Amino acid sequence: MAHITEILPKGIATSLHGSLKLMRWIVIFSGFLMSVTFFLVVIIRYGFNGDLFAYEEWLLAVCFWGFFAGSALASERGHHINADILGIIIKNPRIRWWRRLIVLTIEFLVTAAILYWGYLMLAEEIAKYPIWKTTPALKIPYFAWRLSIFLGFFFMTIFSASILYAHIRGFDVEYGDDPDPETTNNNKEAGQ
Amino acid sequence: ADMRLKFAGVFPVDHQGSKMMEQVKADIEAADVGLKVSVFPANQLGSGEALLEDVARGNIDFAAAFLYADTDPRLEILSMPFLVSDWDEMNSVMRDLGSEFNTIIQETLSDHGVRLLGQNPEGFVGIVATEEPTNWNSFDAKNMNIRVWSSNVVKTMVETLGYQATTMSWGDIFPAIQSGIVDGAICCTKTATYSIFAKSDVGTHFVQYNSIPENTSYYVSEKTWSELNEEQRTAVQAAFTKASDDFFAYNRENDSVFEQKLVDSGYTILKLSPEEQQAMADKVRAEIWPMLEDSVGKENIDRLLSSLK
Amino acid sequence: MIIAGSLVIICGMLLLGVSVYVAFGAVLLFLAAMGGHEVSGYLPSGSTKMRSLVLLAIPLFMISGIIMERGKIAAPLVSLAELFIGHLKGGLMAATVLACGVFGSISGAANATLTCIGSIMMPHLRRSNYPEGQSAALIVCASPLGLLIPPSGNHILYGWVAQQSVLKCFLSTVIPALILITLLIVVNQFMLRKYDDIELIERPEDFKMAFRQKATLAVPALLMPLIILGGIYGGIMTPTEAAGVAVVYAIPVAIYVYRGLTWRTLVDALTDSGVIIGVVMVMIFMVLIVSKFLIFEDIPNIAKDLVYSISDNPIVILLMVNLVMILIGMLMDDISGLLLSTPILLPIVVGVGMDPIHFAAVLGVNLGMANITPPTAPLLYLGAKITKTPVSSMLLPTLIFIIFAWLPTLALTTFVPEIALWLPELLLG
Ligand code: NA
Ligand code: NA
Repeated sequence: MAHITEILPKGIATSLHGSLKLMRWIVIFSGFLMSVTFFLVVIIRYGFNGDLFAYEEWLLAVCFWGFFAGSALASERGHHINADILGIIIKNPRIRWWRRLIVLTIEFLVTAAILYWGYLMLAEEIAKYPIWKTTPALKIPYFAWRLSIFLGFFFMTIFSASILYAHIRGFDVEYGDDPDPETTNNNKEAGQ
Repeated sequence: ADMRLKFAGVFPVDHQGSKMMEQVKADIEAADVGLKVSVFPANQLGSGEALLEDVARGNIDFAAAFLYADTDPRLEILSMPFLVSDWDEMNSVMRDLGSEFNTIIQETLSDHGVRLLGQNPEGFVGIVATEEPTNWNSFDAKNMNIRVWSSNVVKTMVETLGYQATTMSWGDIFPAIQSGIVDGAICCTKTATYSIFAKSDVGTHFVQYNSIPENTSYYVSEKTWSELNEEQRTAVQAAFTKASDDFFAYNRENDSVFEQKLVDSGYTILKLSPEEQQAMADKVRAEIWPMLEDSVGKENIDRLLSSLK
Repeated sequence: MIIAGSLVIICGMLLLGVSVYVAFGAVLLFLAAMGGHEVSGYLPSGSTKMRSLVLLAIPLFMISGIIMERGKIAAPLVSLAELFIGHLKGGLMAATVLACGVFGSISGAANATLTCIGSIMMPHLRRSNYPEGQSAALIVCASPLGLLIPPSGNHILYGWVAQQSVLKCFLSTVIPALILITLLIVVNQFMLRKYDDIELIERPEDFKMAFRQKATLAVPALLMPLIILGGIYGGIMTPTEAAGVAVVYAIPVAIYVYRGLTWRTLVDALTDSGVIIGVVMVMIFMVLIVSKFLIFEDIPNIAKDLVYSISDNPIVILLMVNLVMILIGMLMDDISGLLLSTPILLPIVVGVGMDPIHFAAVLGVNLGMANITPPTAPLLYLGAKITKTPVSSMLLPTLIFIIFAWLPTLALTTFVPEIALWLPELLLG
């Protein structure tokens, strides 16, 4: 089975690889930061009678990057939650193929629509410049985390399109967890 | 067909503020100018920050909500501590839409496509505490950890008064006080203190520093406003002005009613003498107000101050 | 019209197998087509709503779950449970249920409970000849105990949306959890009666010695609920802070005490939890937007009128509400179901006099079930993967556990308010 980037033209694949690597580091960093921050908040309050002033403002901004990088990674791996039951019930490979085509097409179109709404959000934000919406204490612009939402859906749209493309062209790519390895394997043999 | 307008608010369903929303709806509809109103109380359509955004966009027509400085730093003017010190000043400075205070706010809101229809100061925010703060009426250290909301100004003010401050979001206050994570919070009017804390047997003291008024605003989307005809605008403004007047009269009257309710439920109310109040006001104005120049703008603060003389 | 359209789209999309977040996006497209609002408001409203520290408890529970799984923190708990009842027929399976319950006091998520207990118990159960499908189904059906025993990510969300005391919500499902544990064990024993080739674990000769050994090993793991729940109820930290402290405590315990994790594999654990977090948070993001715009369309009031027009008998209404929640639970995962249904259903049940804390328990049990009821049953599919068992062999036993253990628990929790309210009122007044 091929990785999703392997079926794409080289230039795109290379930049996607780079982005994926970056997203993994964002996810790791934000997860680490989240845990340590709350631990420190408790320690500082009880150990030092202190206060990590307005930490929610930077912490949430970083976490948004983590959340949406994580969703993009989930799109790459096909991990988003869905009702897998039809994949188990339907045995006919032709119907399976068509159902998957419909599902992947819908996923691509809807994710692209969300991406467009994300573009509207950023455009509106930028148009307001220089009066940007900012957090009350540290004056972090809302733009700083809203950008992560847009980029997250940008990559989700790209992966969604690639997987749809792979499905139509008949490439076998790593995608999702087979809920029922036995049945799927049997079907694959039956289909070949 | 009648135009249906959405009116969103942040007060709990049984709160007087929500009842005023119903009154606005009734008055606008009774004016028979082709307008119907749907009321959404209790943050149903979002909290203060979200409402301002949605009203600006025209997804919501009217709101009764706090104006947060997130949208525009100039709105920090709403949390200037010791700007007003009693109910009369609240009325003249904050409620008169023609005052310099409201002119500055309207100028700010206009940049975001929003129009101010009324101001509702509900009373002064005090400190709810689970014990009596030592030195509560002076600037000396109180050995008490108080929750504040994320505002440099409020945090510095509380620290100037001698408390330790912990920033905490609104949602965490109740469990935090209940379980003792903080010893108190600057958060609530007497009315809110009674209904949120005293009724649940949480907290024992209310320290009354007449410094920051709890204020919600009535505002309308400019998009909606431009779609209304002259007759409709008059009816809408009249309904909101009446609600604002009635709400203020209610709050003013009930401040002492809820003070008594707090006392009856075992609370101690700690009040400053006029001299102590003045001393605090002087110190805070001198030390804290300059901090606001960055956000509100020096020019705006000067305008405000000269209008108050 | 809007209700019907949204329902058809959600159900159709989910049944087809489209990802949950996409199904919500499709509803937003439908609402946009119906007109009446600016679509430029969709994403900003989601982002404003999601900017809440309280919400961070959810990803933190996911991180600590993965660290505890990789760190094998559940192993000593399991072997302690085995020691006591492993020598009885069905004992190993009962131990699995109990281990899920104990582990629930460490973990705030059901999938963590499933992966931690499931990955350890399944090989033992197989080795002892317990029926495979039934074993896997039991693990899956017991894993929502992770949500019923405090702390619970779902209750933090509910408290956040419904503006209720999270501490009380936590306590509301403790007794329902005990009922569920009992029922699961009883039903399982009954299902086991036709199997007689099950190998039993021998009770060690020196029981005291074995107990001392295993208990010592379990101490660092058992300290976790003490720190987390003690911290929350003792007034040292908020539930969200406790979720963060749990991660920081679990890391050295996993690396240096149970040695299931190294600093290197910790990075992998963080990456993998990041993906799960991404999955959950994008669903939360979308459902927050959908729920807000459905409220824009006045759906809660329309739904309330609809329900009350059918009947105003409290029992009938509570039955209807439960039925709706079960249907939502079949179609969705727990978090989406909670965020979508709370604003709509809470006014209805409060209207017939139900305490919001009581509803927290009813919702808690319902949503625990939501994760295991097909077609959208993330825990069932995850369980199949963890236990390496085909879903098809798990379906029937899962159904039996749902009907004879979960539904009776739900009925008791719904119609006997004391089950939910007694403990919170006793401890928190
Ligand atoms: Na739990
Ligand atoms: Na389900």
